[in-house]
Amino acid sequence: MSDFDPKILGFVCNWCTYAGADLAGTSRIQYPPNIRIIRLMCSGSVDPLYVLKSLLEGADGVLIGGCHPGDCHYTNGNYKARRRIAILKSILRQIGLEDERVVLRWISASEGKRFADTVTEMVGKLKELGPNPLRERWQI
Amino acid sequence: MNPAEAGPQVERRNATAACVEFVQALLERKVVEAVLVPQHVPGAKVVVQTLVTDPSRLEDVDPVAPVLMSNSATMVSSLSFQAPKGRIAAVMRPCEINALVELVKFKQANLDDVIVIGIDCPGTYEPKDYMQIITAHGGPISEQVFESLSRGETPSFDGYELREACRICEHPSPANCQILMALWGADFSSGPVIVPVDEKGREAVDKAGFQSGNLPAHRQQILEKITSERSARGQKILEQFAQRIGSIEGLVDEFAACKKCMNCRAECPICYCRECIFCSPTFVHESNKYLKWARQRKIIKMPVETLLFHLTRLNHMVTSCVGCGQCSSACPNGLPVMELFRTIGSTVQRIFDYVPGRSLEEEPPFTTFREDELEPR
Repeated sequence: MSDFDPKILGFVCNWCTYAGADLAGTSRIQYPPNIRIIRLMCSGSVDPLYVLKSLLEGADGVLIGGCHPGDCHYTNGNYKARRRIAILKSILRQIGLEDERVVLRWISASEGKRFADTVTEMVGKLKELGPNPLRERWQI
Repeated sequence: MNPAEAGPQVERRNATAACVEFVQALLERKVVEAVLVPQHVPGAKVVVQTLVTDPSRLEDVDPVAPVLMSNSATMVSSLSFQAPKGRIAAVMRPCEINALVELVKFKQANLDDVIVIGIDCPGTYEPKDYMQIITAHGGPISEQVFESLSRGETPSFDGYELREACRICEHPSPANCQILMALWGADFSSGPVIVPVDEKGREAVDKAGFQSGNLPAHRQQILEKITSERSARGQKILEQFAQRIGSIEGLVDEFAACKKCMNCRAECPICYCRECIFCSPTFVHESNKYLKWARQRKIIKMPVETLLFHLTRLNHMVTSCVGCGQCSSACPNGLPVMELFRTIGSTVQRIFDYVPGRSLEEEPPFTTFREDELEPR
């Protein structure tokens, strides 16, 4: 599986994680180029539909990034995201898809390193898991 | 003429007499302005919900008929979400009341001016089976159904099975109603027993000029027996189903025949969105998109996104699924939608210790959160 290059989709919040990713870039922190980032206003606005769509279309992993508890720009969007993702992960486990493919992480605007580490860690894990099996299923 | 050809003639005997008299009294004595109650359609072999304001138009009322065309929680939602001027009473089965409780919590129904009359439920047949049964029988079968219930047994008609959702239902008796119409264990000769459950129910029963009945002596015993039989069956069925969908291959196979008609969603009482995202422009794809997908994968199933539809619906509302099974009944290809929702639902609901329909006070998992729960902290 050494030639497997995982594709990760990132849904990140405007206020914390996006700024954190930006900081990783401006600080010249090296991390694998496997993530494509989509900026949303809040992790609480990530409908599990978006994550499912990504997985069904063959993304190997999905990162949802939000503000640390208590720091949400909209007070509690991240707590709501946490419930939604917990339910999504439980469903994924029950249908035989590794729930580690979906990662919810709090990354603040000052945590450029944490963003880079998260992506590095995800790429490592996804290389272990191998490609998303849904990519090979046409009847979905 | 053969009675079957003439259509059902509802004889007002033990099973339905007390129900009819009671709802009639509610209207005559102006306790309520209207009642929502199942009635036989004259000349046809079906039972539908009717909204009645004239007490003389209750001649074909039959809430005992073991058939459920649609979950009436949706109707009570339509009738009450804008707080109408006038009280209504609704005769509902346990799964309908459970769904209504969820809709109230989603602010889709308002029970201030609704009196819920819960009726004991033996389970229901698929409408097409019900029609065949009463054709063969030459008329409604509510007497036989009530007779079985009074003995504490699930009714049975040769060659027909209740809907699977009903065979694994743990709610043979309603909760969260104002008035209970008890059938399980009731004395066959004197008909269903009418018992007020709360203050609002007591007031309505008094005003209607009825005496509060006494719950049948063996009722609790019967309910425990029925519930344990059905939940044992449910556990077995859902465990087997969990195995079948426990791999991507299994899940894809089970739902291979889905053509995304979305009847399951249309019939689901919990799917209350006025505009479903699957009907929104989000899912009107550019024509080129399809070709792009086909090029990428070499082959794609059309229509697209059938599995996405079911998985999304699971994510959106499985926490509140009451297991009424109308989704499976609505599926033209007989897909196990109810089994999917009950299997996944039991696990997901357990995360939040949430039981849909149990209480009006418990907040649905998606409407609230706690700071000190789940991961990451």
